[in-house]
Amino acid sequence: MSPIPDRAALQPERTALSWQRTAITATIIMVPLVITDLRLKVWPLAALGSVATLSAAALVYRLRRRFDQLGDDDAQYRPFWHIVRVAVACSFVAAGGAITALVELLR
Amino acid sequence: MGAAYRLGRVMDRRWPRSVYGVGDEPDPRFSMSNERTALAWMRTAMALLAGGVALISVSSLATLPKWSALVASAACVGGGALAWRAVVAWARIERALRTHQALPPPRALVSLAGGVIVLAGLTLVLSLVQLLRS
Repeated sequence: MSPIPDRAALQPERTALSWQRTAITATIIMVPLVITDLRLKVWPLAALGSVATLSAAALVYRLRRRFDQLGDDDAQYRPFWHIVRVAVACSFVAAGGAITALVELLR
Repeated sequence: MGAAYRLGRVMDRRWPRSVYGVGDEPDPRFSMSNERTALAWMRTAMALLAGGVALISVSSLATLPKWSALVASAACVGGGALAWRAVVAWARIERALRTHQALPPPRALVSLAGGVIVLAGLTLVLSLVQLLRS
């Protein structure tokens, strides 16, 4: 049983774990791209990638608010902005990847 | 549910209003399932992105054919689009849960399968052409 009252089937724990997996993946996915940009000497892209990686790391920290909500039976559920932040992180990776691919193609 | 919950319902300022401004509060378990489904879609998007990033990383190290950068680029763009699709799907499902409507079909599943098949087919054809030329 969940240690949180009135919540069956370990739902808060599963949701929290799902968030952690997603946030950690969002953080590490950019690292190889930054390394590639450094190798290709595309400094602006490497700098932007580093900022995006740090932003994704901040996402992991901000998740504690969501975990507080999950542990509070009276809290209303509002994961929208957290989901949007992950989508923004993905967009950064997508843009960085596409531009790096273009640089590689034109090299 | 407690008094704080009822008070929260009156002062509900959650965003987006297109989702939280309609219907009534669903069972939290369904909401959390919807959230986990959206996150699963996000991770699928990130898997596509990771594939693209890995291909770009390898192509910068080895002398891979130029078209591999195009395939990597397509994977990255597809992953980015899929991530935003997950946000839209989350909102649609949450709205359906709140208004007691039938859940919308997972249309992104068809797009994802189609996209992956096209990408795999394109890679296979380009690899074969490369092989026959060498």
